[in-house]
Amino acid sequence: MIRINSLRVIRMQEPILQIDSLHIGAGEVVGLMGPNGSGKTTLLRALHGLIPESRGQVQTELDLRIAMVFQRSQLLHLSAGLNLRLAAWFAGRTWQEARPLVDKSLQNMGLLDLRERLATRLSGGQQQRLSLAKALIRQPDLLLLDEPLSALDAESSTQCIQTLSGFVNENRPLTRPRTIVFSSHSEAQTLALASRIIRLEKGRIIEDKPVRASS
Amino acid sequence: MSDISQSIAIATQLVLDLDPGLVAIVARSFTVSVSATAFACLIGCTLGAMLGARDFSGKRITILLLNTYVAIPAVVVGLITYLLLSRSGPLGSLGWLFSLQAMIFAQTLLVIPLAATMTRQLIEDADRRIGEGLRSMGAGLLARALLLLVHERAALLTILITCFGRAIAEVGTVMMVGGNIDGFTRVMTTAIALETSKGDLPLAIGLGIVLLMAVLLLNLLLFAVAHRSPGQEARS
Repeated sequence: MIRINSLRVIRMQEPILQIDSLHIGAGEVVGLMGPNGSGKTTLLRALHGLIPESRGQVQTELDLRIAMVFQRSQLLHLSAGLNLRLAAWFAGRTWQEARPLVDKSLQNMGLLDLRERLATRLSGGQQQRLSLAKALIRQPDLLLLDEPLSALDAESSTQCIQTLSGFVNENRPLTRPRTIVFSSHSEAQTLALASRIIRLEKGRIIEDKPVRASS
Repeated sequence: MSDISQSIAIATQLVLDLDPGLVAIVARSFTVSVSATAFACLIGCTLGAMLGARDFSGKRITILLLNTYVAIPAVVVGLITYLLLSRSGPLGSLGWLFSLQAMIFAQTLLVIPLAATMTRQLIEDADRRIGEGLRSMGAGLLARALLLLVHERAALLTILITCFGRAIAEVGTVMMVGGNIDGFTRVMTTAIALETSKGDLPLAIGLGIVLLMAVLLLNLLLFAVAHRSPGQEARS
């Protein structure tokens, strides 16, 4: 699904990400771990093609639909419902088609009552759930999440992990399996969701191993 | 001192009596400045938003030129407009010189760089904060620029007010291309300048009072609109 070759991202003449080779296959749930500044966010942005000045190759399959949830909320100063409706519209839905999808997404995230509230006025946790809903409404093949659970309480975290697990395991005949790449500081959260863990340090991969499914 | 007090009293009476001469000048001023602000903001804000949401080689030079354009004295803009609209100028065939159209055209040219510069800075900052989220959704340059404008609509109102303030307070440009013709192209600022030089203080002060009241009312109106519409409240 994604193949990286000799990727170098340099900022202020300092390399902040150096990856010689990395392959992420369809259906994988990859957890990125590492201390602050280790390159997790940069790797996610590079996978999404948001770092035009990077050197090297990030090859993705053609027609791969990508969505990303950012560490800092990237919501528009519009109602929660309108934020989702725009995301659905950009994903190719008509304005009318988008409406029931929006309600369903908000319902899944426990945000239906807040549909008319300004997204930028919601609490940090609500904004993070709304951002996740905004990404999921695009029905992406590859979902990139930058510390998606950092602002959530335990109950909301569990709910989001269940939503993400459901998203990955949803049966999609005739289409490629879904893939998630996410960053986290929490070992427990990563183990709960990931099928593979990649540890980064100073912009380099220092460990890449599968997660054994707990029985 | 008593002359000034007497002038203020007469001016207040002129305003309260809705003196026809004064009302005509005020209406003309608003027609010119509101039109110019609308045209200038339409062009300037679009340009500024596109410039703010896009990175390209030569962007710094473009911004430098735009900032220089903002600092050009109004009379120079008036002179350029005069040359453009004069009979032998490239737009002379329009026959706009010494008309309201010429004044609107001149004020539009004057305000465009202000609208573009302020919008560019606003959208560039917003793009830094939430631009990646929009790119991630698949929004292209135009869609991103428009959505960022919507996102920053409260601040955009401030730009609108600033541009209107620049337009309505302007004297030199409209004097040069409008000619300050009584009953035809005389507006508040040119009338204030003329009446003051003639020593007719009551009308000048009266127009000054109206100018201040108008700007205050406009601010109040925009403030109310920004805070009343659902989902449109201004950010503190």
